[in-house]
Amino acid sequence: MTEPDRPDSLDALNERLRDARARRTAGERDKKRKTPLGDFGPAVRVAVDLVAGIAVGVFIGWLLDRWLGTAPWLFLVFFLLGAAGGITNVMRTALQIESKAKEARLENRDSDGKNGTP
Amino acid sequence: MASPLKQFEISTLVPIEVGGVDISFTNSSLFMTLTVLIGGGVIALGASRGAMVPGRLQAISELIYEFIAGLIRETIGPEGRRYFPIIFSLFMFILVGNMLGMIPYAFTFTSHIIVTFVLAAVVFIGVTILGFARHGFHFFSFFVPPGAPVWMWPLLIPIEVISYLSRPISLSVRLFANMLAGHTMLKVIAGFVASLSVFGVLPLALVVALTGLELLIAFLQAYVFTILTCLYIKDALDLH
Repeated sequence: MTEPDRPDSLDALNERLRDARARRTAGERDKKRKTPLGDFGPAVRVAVDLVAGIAVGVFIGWLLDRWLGTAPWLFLVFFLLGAAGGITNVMRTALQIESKAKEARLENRDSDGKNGTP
Repeated sequence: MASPLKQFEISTLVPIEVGGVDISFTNSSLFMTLTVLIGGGVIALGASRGAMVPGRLQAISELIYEFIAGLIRETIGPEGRRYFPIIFSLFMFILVGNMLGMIPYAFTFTSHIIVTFVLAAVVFIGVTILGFARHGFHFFSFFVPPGAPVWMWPLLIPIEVISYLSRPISLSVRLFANMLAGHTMLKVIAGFVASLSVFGVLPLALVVALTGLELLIAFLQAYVFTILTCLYIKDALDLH
């Protein structure tokens, strides 16, 4: 097999590894493996994202109120900010799903075109 | 009928106390140890032979390796290879923990918020450190939405900060709530099997179906935790 006392064999191996890795990344991009379970993953994320934003906002508001003695004003302000943060979270996830779906649609159209179906 | 919440009780197996702090070895610790042993063992045994035609264990480890490597390639890109060890370990720990919990009489440590929160905190703190190490103080520009007019910043920056701070909460609550709810539901419905005598066949069939669903969720939650970790790392690397 390989001779252990040839230092350049390691370099050659390194090169081949790099080539293989580059090929692989390119290949993956071409066929774009479908993620398992499709959109089910992002779907279960959304609800918790919204609640988490509100929870963090409420917690910060409550802490600041207790510290500064301004109850209940900062609580109310941060509740609204938290809700906005939660909605931001949800929107990001939704946009992500949307862009993924768009990509899939484009890909389908491409492959259809290649097959020659009108 | 035993309480459906009894399965989540922590019981001390070996009491240990150091300096007034209770660090006893509990059933939760036992199952975490088992998880590490089983998860590590499967990978170590699977990787040790390196046969051309993989055996069962090797096929499992190769499958998991390929799955996580593919996930990282897709979400972070080639740069993400560096973070493979932590992402892979997180996935294995949660997946094996969830799956062990599916065995009757086993303890599901992922159904405890403190466990999932520590995991999420590791990710959150790690990603924040990564962001600062990569970009220095420029990392703060992450909290400024691109293209927003300056007069909107006082409103938008707090929202972005809260959105960022909510990451460990949503990450941990999602995993914990899913495991807690699923296992409670299984126990409640299983309780009807005995109390309904002949008609217990109906809840029994439901329990069988739900067990299948729970297996799916056990995998799905590990997957979601992992993919979000990847997305957060990507965010810290790229800043938008």
